[in-house]
Amino acid sequence: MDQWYESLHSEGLLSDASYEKIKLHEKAGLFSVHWEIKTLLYIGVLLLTAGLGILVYKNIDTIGHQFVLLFIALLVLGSFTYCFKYALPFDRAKVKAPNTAFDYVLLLGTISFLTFTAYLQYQYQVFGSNYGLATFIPMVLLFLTAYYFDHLGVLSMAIANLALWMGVSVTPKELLHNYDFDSEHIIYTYLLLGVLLLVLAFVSQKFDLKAHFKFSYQHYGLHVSFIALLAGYFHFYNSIFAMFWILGLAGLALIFYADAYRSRSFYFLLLVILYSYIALSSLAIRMVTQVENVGGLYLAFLYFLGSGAGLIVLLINLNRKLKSE
Amino acid sequence: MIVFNKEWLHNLRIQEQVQSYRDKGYINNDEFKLARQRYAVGFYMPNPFVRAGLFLLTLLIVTVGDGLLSLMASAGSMIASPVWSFFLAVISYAALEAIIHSEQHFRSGVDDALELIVACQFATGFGIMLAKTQGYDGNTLRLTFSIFLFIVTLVLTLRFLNRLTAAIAVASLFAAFFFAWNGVTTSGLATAPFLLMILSAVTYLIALRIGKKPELVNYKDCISMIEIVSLVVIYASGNYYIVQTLGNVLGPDHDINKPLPLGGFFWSYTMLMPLVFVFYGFKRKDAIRLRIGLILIVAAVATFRNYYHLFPAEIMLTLAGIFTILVAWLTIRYLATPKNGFTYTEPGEKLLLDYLRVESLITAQSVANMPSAPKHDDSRFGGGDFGGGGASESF
Repeated sequence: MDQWYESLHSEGLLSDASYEKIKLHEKAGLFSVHWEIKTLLYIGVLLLTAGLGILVYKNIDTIGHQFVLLFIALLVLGSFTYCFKYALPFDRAKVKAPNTAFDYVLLLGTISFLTFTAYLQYQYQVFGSNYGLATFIPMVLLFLTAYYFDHLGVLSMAIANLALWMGVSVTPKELLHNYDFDSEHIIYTYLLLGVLLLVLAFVSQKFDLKAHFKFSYQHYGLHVSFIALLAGYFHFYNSIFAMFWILGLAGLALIFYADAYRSRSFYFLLLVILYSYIALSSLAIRMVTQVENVGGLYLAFLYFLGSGAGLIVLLINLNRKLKSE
Repeated sequence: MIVFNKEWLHNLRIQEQVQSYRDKGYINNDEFKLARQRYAVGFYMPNPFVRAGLFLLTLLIVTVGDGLLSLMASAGSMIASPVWSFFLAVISYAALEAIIHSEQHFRSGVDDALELIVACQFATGFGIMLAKTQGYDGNTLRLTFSIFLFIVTLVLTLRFLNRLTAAIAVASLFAAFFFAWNGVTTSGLATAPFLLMILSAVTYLIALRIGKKPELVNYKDCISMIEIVSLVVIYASGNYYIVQTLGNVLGPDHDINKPLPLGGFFWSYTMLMPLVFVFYGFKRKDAIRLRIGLILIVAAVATFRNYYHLFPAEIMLTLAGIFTILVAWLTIRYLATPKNGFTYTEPGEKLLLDYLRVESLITAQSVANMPSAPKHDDSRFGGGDFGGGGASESF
């Protein structure tokens, strides 16, 4: 690697102090294994918790599972003791982890805890046949953990559990694989969940309560709401109510377009634009299919050419505008 | 040969360096801005999200545009001939050159997509051409195709510095050698692993050497890609499972379970090679070798498990988890103060992963995939605390 700082310094672009600082670090030539270690920790936690979960599950009728359970309980206890001992005091703003291992210890404790409650429910029916409660309590504990220790991963788990409690599963894979959108009931549940998450995103920012959680809430909230609205539109395709779903989608898109623009979030801008484009295209296709000869096909092609090019120009301009401001 | 403005490419490297100095806190913001002004870059380089959006939209437009053209031309028999594919490829290529010259796009998503499309269209045209020729056996056809693909992707890489086409170029080069060897020697399949091992090792060493040449500095990213592909091929060409499966699928007798001759050699190669990569990665402080080695350890374990089931999967998972955490933990303890030129402190460079917080998303995904529950009966894990259950009645 060329050392540009020499020439930058001789051109007078770098102060002597900065130059010395860079030189010192470059000379030391330290190789950081930070990301490798973090990845290892993360994979380790996932492997261990998955292994233990299956271990209990498979050996549930034998004596051996008692030991596995004891081990899991000790893991939970140990992890949480560690976390309570080393955690920095709670604060409404973002709290940094005291050390790098902390986040992973907490993750280990939380996932093991979930395994443990699931076992209790199965073996002793702690929550009886009240399945709402059986998912509600872990969910509350997950949210508390996420907020108290300031952990985004646990927050995502809490959101997934919230969806579960509401009767749907919200993780991306489930959304894609179980496109089970034909039941009105599920569409309404999704929509409610999405709006709830978006409200939580708003609250996080407005009341400055862990404002950095907004990203996770909004990420899940937007995907779920848009998919629910699109699903609603197609479900009521032939009824007059189809219009309302599209109007709702347009409203949502407008609100969050403005929000994403304000907060300079390209990710959410892209999300809003692409979902709106899907909605717009489905409307266009609907119109084009009214034409009953090959002309319709030409129109469809022309629509995609024109709109695609227009969208590219829009994205490029947006990028320039946000960058220059 | 390179289509992009070379001075800007040079300035871009300086800017990246200066940016990393700022992220690490070596220089202040004023110095950063000053350096950026002095070494200005005129490329249009949007952020990763806009780039992804532009990439998708370009794919859409080209697909639809080509569809429209094909529809208009569908009256004649032209679109079934390879010439049509070449024609579309030339149009895409012209668009690619035009967008770079007039709008100064550089890795903007538009040029990335077009480069890929050009390669695909040329390959399709040539594929149709080959399919229509008669009198050659399959091996010769595959050889010809590999050579053609190599030439197309090589030219694209040389002109547009595209990392993906660089990877495809190396891969097709290896494929070409493989098919050529297969065609000329009678013992083709049995000796092919050794040919590929030597070939990829030589390629890797060449890539390492030319990666240091100052006159090739613009190709640094592409050369890194070559290193990655060659390392993977070095390993894959001696991996027991791959050698056995490929040999049996391509060979005369399709017996999947026939053990390999020289099994001991291939087994040691499978298990030891990743460790060699990791060792030399550490020794030479080479991040590519180190990371590829770490990933290949997983491949080695998976290969082993495919043949020998020492433990059931869940015990393997648990043990592997404990082992991985221990290794990470010990490394952290060991590197509490930097030793032997290694440190545990954050490199300070912002990665795309940080923007997306991918990790937290993956966590949610993996939790939802844990043993999922049947809905409302008292079988194992009733109630479905882990997701997947989707018991909408309880809401």
